[in-house]
Amino acid sequence: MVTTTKTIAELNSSPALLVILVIFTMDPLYLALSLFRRRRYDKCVEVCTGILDKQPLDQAAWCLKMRALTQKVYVDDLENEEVPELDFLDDNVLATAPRPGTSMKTAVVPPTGALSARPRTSTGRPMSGVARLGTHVRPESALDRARTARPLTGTASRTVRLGTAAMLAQKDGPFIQVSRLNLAKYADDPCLSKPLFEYLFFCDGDTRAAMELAVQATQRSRFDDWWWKVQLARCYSAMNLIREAEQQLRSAVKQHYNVETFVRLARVYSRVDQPLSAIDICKSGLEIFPKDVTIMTELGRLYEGLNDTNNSVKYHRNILIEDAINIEAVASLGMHHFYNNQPELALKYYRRALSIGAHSGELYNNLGLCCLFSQQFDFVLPYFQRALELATEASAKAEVWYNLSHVALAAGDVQLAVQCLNLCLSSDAAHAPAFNNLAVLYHKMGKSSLAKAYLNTAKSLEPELGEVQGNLEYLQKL
Amino acid sequence: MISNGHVISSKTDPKNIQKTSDEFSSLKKYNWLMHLQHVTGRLQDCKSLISSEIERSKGKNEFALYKQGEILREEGKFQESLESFQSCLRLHPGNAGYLKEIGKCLYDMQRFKLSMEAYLEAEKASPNPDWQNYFYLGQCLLKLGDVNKASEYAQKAVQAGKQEACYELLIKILIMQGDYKNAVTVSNSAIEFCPDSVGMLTESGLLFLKLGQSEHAFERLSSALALEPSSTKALLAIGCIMQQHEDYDVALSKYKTAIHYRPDSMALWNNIGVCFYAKRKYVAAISCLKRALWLEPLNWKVLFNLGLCHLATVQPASAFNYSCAAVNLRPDLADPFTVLGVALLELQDPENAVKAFRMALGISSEDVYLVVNMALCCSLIGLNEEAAGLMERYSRMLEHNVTITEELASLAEQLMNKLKRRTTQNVEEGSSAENYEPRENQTENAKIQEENIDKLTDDDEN
Repeated sequence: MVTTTKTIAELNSSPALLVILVIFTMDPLYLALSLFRRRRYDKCVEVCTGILDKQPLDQAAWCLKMRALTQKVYVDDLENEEVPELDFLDDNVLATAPRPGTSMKTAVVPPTGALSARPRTSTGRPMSGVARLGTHVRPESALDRARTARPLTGTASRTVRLGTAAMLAQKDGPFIQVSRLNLAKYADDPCLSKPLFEYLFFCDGDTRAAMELAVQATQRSRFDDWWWKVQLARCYSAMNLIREAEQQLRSAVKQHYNVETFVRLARVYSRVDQPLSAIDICKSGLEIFPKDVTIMTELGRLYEGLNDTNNSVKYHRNILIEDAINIEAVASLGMHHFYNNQPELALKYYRRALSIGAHSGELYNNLGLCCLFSQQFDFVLPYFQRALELATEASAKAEVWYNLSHVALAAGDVQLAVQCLNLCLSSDAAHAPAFNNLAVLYHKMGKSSLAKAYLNTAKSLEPELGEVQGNLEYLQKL
Repeated sequence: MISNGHVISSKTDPKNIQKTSDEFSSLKKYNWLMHLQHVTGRLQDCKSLISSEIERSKGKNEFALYKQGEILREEGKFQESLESFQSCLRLHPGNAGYLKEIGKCLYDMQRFKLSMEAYLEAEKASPNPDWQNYFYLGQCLLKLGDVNKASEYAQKAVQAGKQEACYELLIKILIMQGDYKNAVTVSNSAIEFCPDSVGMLTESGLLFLKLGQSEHAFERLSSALALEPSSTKALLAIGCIMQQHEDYDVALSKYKTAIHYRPDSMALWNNIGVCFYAKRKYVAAISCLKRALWLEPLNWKVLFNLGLCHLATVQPASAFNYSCAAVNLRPDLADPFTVLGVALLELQDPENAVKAFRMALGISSEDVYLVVNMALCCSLIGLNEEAAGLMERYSRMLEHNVTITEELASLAEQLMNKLKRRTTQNVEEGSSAENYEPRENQTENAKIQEENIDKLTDDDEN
């Protein structure tokens, strides 16, 4: 026994020795490449810096360093594209008074009965299964948003943030001085131009320089490289030049079919508020890439924005057939079933989301609600307890307490419901539905004047809320 | 400007005339134009004409001020409208018409006391009785809480002018006073004067239904439906009558048309659920009742009915939850306690079941169903004396001509026989025979409760 352990120890120690030996002998560029492939970008950058210190004009090392730096901060900008379209300064929108059903703003709103439709968010948008960028934005917001602290012009604030993040990572000044760069020289070199573009776009956040490079590179490639066209469109749409972006994407699609191009084109159309054209583009994309998840997700979202629940659900179902662990599809279907009076089915979907690994307060909250409405009372409170523990943001906590008030109502305990609603308001003092429900409860208790005060508060917080309006009218009539 | 169909713009434009006109021109010169513009909906022109006229007359043109008040009130600016009527009144003190308008403005602003004073003055000023004065006085008094005086004025209003609104007010007051007989007679005379008013026909049908005269009610409601087939209130009431006569398919068809027009009515969904329950389609019943509950989570009737449905589908735990919620919401009613008791009995907790029954009995001691159910429960857990006492009470109730269903009677008979047997063979037989009985009996219990639901649905349409 003793001997065997010894041999194992020896065996273990020997490869480490070997590695050290290899490092001393291996070509540093090869090592850097290997590190890059193993996604150890920090190390890779270090090694490349070492090479560049010795040979400042080594293009391979320079290119690799750019790639490594880019990969470090790379984000899927298709998924979290910031949509600055809703500014009142924006004149890109084609039709100012579109026909109903042809625009997100005038999407045919189903009658907002308590049964027929899913509720809308506080901004008037139909609820989505998952929170995305833009799901909190009101479709018809014009001057309202001027009140908030958000920037009004559509500068790509995300890219600016990323740029600063990348700067912080570099100790001794920026890696590339963009202002001193001879862009025309690099545009000639097809091997260097593409990494340089990505570096400029993602790492440096310098959209303008990146665009200049892209413009020159397309000219050099005699307009037959679709990749450059897509990148150019990306720059254009980041700078809010929608029409130019559309042109580039259109000609890119003619040259080469790519999923990203189709989705970007659809995005461009939804930015000029032409959801029907966006849907057409996505559908033609689906003919070429049948059952592609990205395109189907885009379609599902577009139909959701148009209040076309049936089609949206259809695409989400198809996504699940292709990709059984797509959280967005699972959550959307769960929500659809919940508001369609099928809490048991919704419970199944949300449980699946939980087993996939989505572990959030919102999910536990939804599970609790599903259990409540499908009469699995023993699970209700544990789920809500989890939700409360996981909810860190005040608004999320407020929503959980709001839903807990419904649990109390289901048990017929009005006092507890009032307490829950008060806790909800202590987390989020601008929760209009909570004010409305408190008013109803106080009215039931016979405190009509208090109820009226609460209703007026709710109305001042959210004037669009139909229930508040109805309740106020009811109280007036009494 | 309009004159006989042709539009003549330049010559007779009031602005041009104003320049040339001297100060001796008549104040009432453009009154006709103001009225015309107002009634044809050209409010912008009308407003500018009014303001120029008021300026020209230095605030002395009564009609312009009056029109201004009317327009402002249509726009919902009650305070400004009130001011302009008040300046009318200053120009022409004691004018009943202006006083009435002032009263109306104050009424719209919910200043009922001031409004009442204005109408009282108007009443003094007006030479002959005016139904509007009396009507609004009645309304104000009603809002201020003086029902008796309000009813006086409502009666005066009805006498002064046979208006539908006056009749409605009077009926409302009579219902508040609990005087259904008179309310029915008033509604009958109202229908004589306005036989094609759907609202009045429905109202009278509902009153007949309250008095239990379902044939008259049916007649009234059918004529209301003939005039307006989409009247949901009438459809609900007629469905309810059908349901009472156990004609569930017809009732369901009525409800179905009604639900098409008003999909968010709690009472409709509740009654549909009860219909399905009566037809023994429990899944449909539960889903309809759940919809009703989604619409009104605080309604004890829906909770009660859901409890019954779950008892019928042998899900006593859910039944317990729903009936418990119903009890929490209305601890002053016996029916939820009864269902709670039955659910607890099914859940093998007879001690608490008896407690629930005792609570129910404490609230209403005259419910036959409750007495029999409790007797059954008592006999099952061996409280034979109490059971026997309850059955005695039951037979006493029967002597007082209480109407019961066959199921209840047979259940009671079974129970009596069993109790008698027990007293004779008290010593030899233990408590062995009763174990297999409960299930069968419980289903009968559910059937008994069914009657309760029908009774409850009557109240729903109000």
